[in-house]
Amino acid sequence: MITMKNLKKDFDKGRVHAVADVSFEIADNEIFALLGPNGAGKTTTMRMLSTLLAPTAGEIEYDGMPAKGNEQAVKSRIGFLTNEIRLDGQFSPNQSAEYFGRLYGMEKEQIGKNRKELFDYFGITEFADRKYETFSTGMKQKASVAICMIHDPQVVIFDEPTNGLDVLTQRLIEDYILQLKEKGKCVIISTHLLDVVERLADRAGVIIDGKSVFCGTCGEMLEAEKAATLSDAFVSLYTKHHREEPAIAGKPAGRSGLFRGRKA
Amino acid sequence: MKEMSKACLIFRTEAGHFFRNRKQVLSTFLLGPAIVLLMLCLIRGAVSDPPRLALYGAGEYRAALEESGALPEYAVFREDGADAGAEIASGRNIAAVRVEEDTVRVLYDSSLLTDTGLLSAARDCACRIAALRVSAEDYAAFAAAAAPPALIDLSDADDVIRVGLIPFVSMLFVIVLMFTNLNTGSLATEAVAGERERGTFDMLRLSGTKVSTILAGKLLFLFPVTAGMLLLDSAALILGMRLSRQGLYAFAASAAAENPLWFIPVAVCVLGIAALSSALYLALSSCFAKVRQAAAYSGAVMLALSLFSYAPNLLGSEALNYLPVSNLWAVLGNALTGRSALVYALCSTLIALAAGAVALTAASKYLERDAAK
Repeated sequence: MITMKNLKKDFDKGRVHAVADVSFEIADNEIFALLGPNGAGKTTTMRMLSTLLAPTAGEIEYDGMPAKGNEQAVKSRIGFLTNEIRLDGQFSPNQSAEYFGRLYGMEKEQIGKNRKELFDYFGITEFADRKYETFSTGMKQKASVAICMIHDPQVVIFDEPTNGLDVLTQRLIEDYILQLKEKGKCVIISTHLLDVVERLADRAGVIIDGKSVFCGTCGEMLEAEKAATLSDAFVSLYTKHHREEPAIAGKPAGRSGLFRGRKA
Repeated sequence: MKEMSKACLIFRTEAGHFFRNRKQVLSTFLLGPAIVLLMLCLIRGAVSDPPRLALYGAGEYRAALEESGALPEYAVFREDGADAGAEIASGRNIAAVRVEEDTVRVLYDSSLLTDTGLLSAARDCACRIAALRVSAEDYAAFAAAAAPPALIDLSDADDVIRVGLIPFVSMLFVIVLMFTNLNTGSLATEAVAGERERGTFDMLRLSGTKVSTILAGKLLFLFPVTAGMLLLDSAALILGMRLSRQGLYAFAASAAAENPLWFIPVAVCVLGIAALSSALYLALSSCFAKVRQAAAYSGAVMLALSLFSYAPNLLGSEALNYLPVSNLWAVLGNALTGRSALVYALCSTLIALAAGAVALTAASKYLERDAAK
């Protein structure tokens, strides 16, 4: 069980509020989707969850254990894939798996077992000794997922894992996420693809302007917003909760989703 | 997994990664020596017979001055200056200095020499150089009025070796500043800013590896590579000096050959320089999350250090005198020790190690804070 209470994150000495007030509870054996427009604070929330960022205020607990002060213990339980990760083109999947596996303190046998399982699933076994620079975008993403999962973490955080991928690769990763849930893992994904949310997520949390404004199943979201589609429900939530803001840096007012964070 | 093991793992991975890229290995280790040799060849054409450091020439002018008892306190003439008097008159390849309490005053300076010989003399006496260009007539007037000199015979082997070795050791700094810093800066930029830009630095941190451990691992890789580069550059330098047979260079090489332990201060310097360069550029790279920014600032720092290291020469002599190398560490080392090349090298190295350690510790703390804020 992951609990986030009133998370807040400011950047630039408090001048930019990336996350203003986010609270969610995420159960084990659950796929939880984080939804929100660009710049709403999803990635910042995920980075705080993974302990890569320290919250300005608020608490994060993993099974009752506060993340603050237990960063090492939390990190060992987390697999975090951001859409920014670009593995070094000079490395091969085998080298990366060995490297990160060892850094996680895994034994060689365990690394080999996990590697085989993951590489076989993602179809990269035959390319495992090739450099990433020779890989296609989809192959790189599959390899990235495999490397992030090499230590078999209990909590998996994927930031837009299927962005820019072809349908087949997208489906492969979605199926993998479903398998993780079957294995009892807690999966948190952030995506703009609402059909992905409908297919995968048990529950979704919506963040708008750095605040959590909804948490529940897709059905509950449709019902609450009296909408026919998830897209309509999301737009309805956005319209209801989005705060009009003065223009920043010459951009029109009320389009905070275009910016990373909001000026104080 | 203990932090030390993790640092070793990062080191092994970085090293393996580096040595698998043949082009990078070749350019790192061979480009420097090739350019050093090329530089020495070009210098050979640019400098016409730079004078060697000696107390007096052996010509009639010296004899005449000795007879008159009007020699300056110290002077630097061509060792082979049989016609030194004529050369003074014609204003070519000759220099005269007077050592005052804390200053070496250049009384007559008519050559490209101005000058490693003079700088070495200044270092040897632990004093500053004040440039004062005077005409041949003024010099003659001075020589006529000056008190009899206290002779120092620089043909004495120990003195020659000492004076020759210091510029020889100092020459390494050219290599550091021009080639090693470029390569080290490039590798350090890739090692930290590159990882941050690619997002793999976060992956390292998520594996529970401390930032200081990551930097230590990178330093373990960068340090021997930098030291290796320097050693190869030094070898090229020695070879180049032997081949060039030009005034100062041949002199320094022969001085080194006469002193079988010449490599000790050189090695000490190499280790200090390698440690400082590695730590400094890693620290600099840690301040940026973009490779382009880190590379730009590394380049700017390299240029600033180069200019700063030339400052004593530029201030103490003519701008044309770009060949002799003085530098921050030489100045500091000399200020503290004055004389022995080894003590000077040790002192410089300790300063370098301390500076490197401070830079890396600060970078580690900055990265921890920057990542978490």
